[in-house]
Amino acid sequence: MGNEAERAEPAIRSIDFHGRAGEYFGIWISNLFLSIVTLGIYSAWAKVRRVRYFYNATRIQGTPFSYHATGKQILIGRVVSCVVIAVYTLITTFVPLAVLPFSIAFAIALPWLINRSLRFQARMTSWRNVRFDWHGTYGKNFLFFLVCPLVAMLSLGLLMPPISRATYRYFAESHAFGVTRFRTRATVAAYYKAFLAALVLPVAAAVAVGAAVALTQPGFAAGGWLGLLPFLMVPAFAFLFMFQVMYRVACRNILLRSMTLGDAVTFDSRLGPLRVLWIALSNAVAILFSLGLLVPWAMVRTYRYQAENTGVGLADDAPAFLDAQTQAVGAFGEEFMDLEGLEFGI
Amino acid sequence: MDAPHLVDGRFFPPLSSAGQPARLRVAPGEGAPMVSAALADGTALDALAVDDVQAGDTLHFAGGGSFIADRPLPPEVTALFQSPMRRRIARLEAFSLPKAVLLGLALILCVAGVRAALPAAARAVALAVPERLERTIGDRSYATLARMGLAASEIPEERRQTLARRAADLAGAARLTRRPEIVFHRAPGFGANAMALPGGPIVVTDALVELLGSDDAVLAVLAHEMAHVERRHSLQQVLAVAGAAAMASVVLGVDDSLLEELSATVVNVWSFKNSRDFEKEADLVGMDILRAGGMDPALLADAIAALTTQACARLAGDARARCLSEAGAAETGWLSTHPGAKDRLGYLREALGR
Repeated sequence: MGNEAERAEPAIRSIDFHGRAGEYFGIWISNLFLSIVTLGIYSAWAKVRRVRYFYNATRIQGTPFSYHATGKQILIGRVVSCVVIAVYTLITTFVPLAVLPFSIAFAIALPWLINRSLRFQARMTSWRNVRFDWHGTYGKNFLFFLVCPLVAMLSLGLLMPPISRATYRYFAESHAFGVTRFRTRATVAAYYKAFLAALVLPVAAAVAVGAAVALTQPGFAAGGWLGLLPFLMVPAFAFLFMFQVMYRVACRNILLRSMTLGDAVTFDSRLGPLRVLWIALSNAVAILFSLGLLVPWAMVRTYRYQAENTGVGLADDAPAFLDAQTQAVGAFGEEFMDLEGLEFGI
Repeated sequence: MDAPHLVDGRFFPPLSSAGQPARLRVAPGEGAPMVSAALADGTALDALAVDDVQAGDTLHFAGGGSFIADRPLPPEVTALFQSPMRRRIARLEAFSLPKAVLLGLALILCVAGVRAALPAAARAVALAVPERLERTIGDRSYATLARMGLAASEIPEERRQTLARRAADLAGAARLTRRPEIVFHRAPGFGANAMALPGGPIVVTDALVELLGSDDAVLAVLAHEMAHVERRHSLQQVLAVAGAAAMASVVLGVDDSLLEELSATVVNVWSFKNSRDFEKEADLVGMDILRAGGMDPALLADAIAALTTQACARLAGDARARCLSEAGAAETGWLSTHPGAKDRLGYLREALGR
């Protein structure tokens, strides 16, 4: 801590994103067109185009991110996963009981797939000529991505904050820029606060809807709560969706604000949970009513909001981070798990 | 030969983010351009192989180094490092309103084309699947069904044998290439039903035989099921749905779970439509089979009428009459696997010429 007091906190600057919806629309529709004409084969190259567009348009201190995956690597991953999914679909259609062994095999393979996918993603990303890396392990992936969500559910959410803290921490600290790992130091209390805050609005909305139904439709109450069930599904889904979006935004803020890279780099994140909710909902409406044509606009809009509200503080003497490992890895697993969640550093 | 381009920027050696000022010299030539760099510390680097150019100002070299220009590179320099194919795609990607409209229309046409071609493609692929494999799939599904709730039939052995023999005669008379085995089971979970598994067998529930009563009516339903097997409908359906799902994931496969849900719904609705087309085909082919076997094709229409009104049989009086009229008038729904009674009996009557 003393070390920090001596050093001047580097000034935080938000990440530049200069992508434009019109520009991306051209890439998006060309991608779609070429993917269909080539019966899906081009979609691998389309993915490279898409990711590159967003990475290249993202700059920290004037330096853009680069994406190094090639269409061929991604195509191989896609072909393998397509074959697996096709075999699975065919077999389970005719032998429904085969779902069980398949699911078990999938659960066993999943941590390995996540590892491959995250490592591939990290190593294909570079900034200032240095690639990112992922140091996760099979055992910890199993614990954090399979066991922990289950425990969080079984505890009815009560254990969610400490689990989120551990999971987000694992995710961030297993990532490295070159050979330097990211570090985080958020407290469990911060996550509990975020958890409670994320509950307020959804609970209020659910109570309001419930009261409205009970008051305007007295017949339902008389018919017993089972009759209410179909009417409860929609608010329950909305409740979960709202909570999930808001909680995830809060976790991202907590994580990034507490994250550092060496002594040189600090981060900041100031996403507004309500704003993110509004963007997600209005995007969905815009996409539906434009028959999908506004997808590029929605993507650029979402990305821009994230970039504008994410900051990076670089010390003037930011040391050169050396990249120790840049060997190529196969793309397999990448298509199975496009692990959503936080785009740290972006 | 064109004059070389000189570009100022920073050079980063492999594996390092410690860059230093440098001047890059790009000389266009036959084939790949010649790239060399003069670094601020006096080092000269020759014959640099450029992997790709990103963000309009960043060159990545084979082996890991990179160069970031102080200003965006002129387009003619960027173009030097693009393959002819990449340059053509880049021209396609450059945004303009007329092009967007044109591409949008071409896209809609493509989707419509693929949608129309899918059933045909599924048919072609289904025909290419070896019959042995199809039979294996059918046998496996039968074994699974049997475990899930098929009990021994209570229909007298003699009647079952007669029905199976007459079905075989019918298949012979209609010159069918596939002669599926007919098996009878008591299956409370399935109601009055008959199922054609890929490549056979055809499973008939006791409830169906009891509901239809006469052997001729049961044979009419069997003709419909044999048509499914003959045309390999189950296999086609699986292939077509898999193809549609694959196409949908290409079209809508951005990282958006909401859109994925949407595409799954569209594929499902479409697969129901596909299934209804198969049912209609099986009805029409089934009537041909009956005709070929010297039986009255109207039997099929009567059997289907009996099946659609079976639920009404338990009711009495007015309720029964209302139920019957509703069942007969049922419209084809978006989400039905079989055509609605109104449509179905309509085209059956039309095919019978009455």
